[in-house]
Amino acid sequence: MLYRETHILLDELAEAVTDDTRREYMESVATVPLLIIDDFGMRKLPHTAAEDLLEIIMRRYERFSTLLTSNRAVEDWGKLLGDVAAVSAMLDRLLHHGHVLKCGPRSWRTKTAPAS
Amino acid sequence: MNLIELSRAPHQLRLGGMAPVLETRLSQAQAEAMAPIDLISRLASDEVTRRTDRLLERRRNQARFRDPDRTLDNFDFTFHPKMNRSLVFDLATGAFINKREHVLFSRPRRNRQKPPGASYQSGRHSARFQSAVPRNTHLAR
Repeated sequence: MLYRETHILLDELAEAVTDDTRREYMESVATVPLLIIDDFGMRKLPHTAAEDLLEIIMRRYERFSTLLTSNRAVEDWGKLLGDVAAVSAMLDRLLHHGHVLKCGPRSWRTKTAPAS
Repeated sequence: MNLIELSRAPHQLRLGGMAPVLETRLSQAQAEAMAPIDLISRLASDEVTRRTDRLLERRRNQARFRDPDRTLDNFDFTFHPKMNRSLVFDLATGAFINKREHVLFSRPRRNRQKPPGASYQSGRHSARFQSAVPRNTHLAR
């Protein structure tokens, strides 16, 4: 099992490119039995994010499970990644054998935050 | 083999679960007049428990969860009363991993515009999207 926040996953992938170990890193990410990608949409992502995430999802499709969390509605993902086609392809694969849990717009963290 | 040699043996055999409890189990066996098979069973159980715990701990560390101590036990479902509790507990069993299924946690969609694909907004997944990304062989496998 592997847990990564989205921006960290993509940072590590970018570092692997620099280290010339992208193939090995991608292989490890693509073959772990459960990959949890957390907080998609929380931070600005690099311009290669759509391609990288799509590659990960495509390689895992029907082979291994992926759990992705996002505080953004899916209709915003295309704009977020700047690539509607890639997002469509990614969602297509995620949801073909997928479960969708709607978590609501309210933030869990702000519930316990002290009142200002 | 005397008691000192016996206490070293689990370390030499890499039985890390048995080593720290050996003396305690021997004392228990004497106090309760335990049958040999029961003593061996207890020691084997100690070893299995220790190994299982360590495996779980190792996997938890490898996963690098942000909040590794959070569990469903203290999850407040009343905060999101419309959340599908049944699905949450189904997912918690991990059965979806063996089925190679995916899971998406997201906010409900807004109503003002259509999403980039039509199938997932209605819960039906019959439509297929044509990707702009070439289906290279190394990606499609």
